[in-house]
Amino acid sequence: MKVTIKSLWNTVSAWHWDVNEECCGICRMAFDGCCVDCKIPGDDCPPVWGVCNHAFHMHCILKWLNANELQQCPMCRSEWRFKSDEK
Amino acid sequence: MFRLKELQKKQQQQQQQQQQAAAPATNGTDAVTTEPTDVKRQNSNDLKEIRKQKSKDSYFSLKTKQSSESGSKRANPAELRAQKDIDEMEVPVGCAVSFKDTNDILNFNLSITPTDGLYQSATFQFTINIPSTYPYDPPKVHCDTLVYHPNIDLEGHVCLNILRQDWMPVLNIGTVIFGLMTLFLEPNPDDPLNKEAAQLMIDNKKSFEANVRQSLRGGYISNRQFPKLL
Repeated sequence: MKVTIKSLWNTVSAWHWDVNEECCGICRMAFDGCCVDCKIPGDDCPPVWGVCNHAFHMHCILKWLNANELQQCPMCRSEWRFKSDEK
Repeated sequence: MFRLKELQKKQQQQQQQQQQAAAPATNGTDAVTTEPTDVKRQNSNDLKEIRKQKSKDSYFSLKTKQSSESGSKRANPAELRAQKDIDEMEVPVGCAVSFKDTNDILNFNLSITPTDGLYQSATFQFTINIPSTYPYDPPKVHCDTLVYHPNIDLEGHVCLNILRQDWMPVLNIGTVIFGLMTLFLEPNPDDPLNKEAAQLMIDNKKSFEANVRQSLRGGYISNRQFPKLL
């Protein structure tokens, strides 16, 4: 069967990260945007979760953990461990 | 550039109109019927173009305005974050923030007038500096008013847990101001900078309170005169 698609429609797609919070608590930039050091939102600047279920931009939380000996969640001060993606 | 082009176009139009005015007299009736429609079409095209340019113009002018507002250099992450903090901040009653230089969001003054407690109605000035590593490092706070307080030494250094060991990048300028206000409502002798005042507060709360009142009235404590704040 021959299908002709009339160019009446424009294809549009949207994406967003599946995060409960709107923005990262460290940089206060939207998760669907990117951290202050990045320019392009998307896979290169993903959100990451700790076992405490608090989410931050990967770049933001790594910067914090690298700058401090205590590996604490900035939100709840519990020990920070990355949540493995078992979703 | 855009204006120049517009001017050139206007001149061309004027020339065409002059030609039109001259044309009927020389070329007869045919020319009169064809030329005006051509001009009309051209005019509408010009209009479209001018509109396009205008929208582009305003777009660019907005851009340049925004960039000039934040200074000639690109806003750094600390500035971006501080701006967000200040936009969302709810300043507690008795606190007032003032900027020395409105282009410099990283340095500002804070005045605190406690509405309750021992230090009620006295006004204390603070200078706050946001480091370029903010929010990974806490704001630097200095007390510019000489004060008799267990957590503020006579040089103006402030001891507040969230400004030091308990700083977290999720805290913001608003929470720091709130913390400073709390310091006046509830001085904490367990974490002192002015050890003398803290020890007295633990040993003899009545005489500590008397000392605070005396200091706020501009009196001497341990041979040091305090400014009159009440």
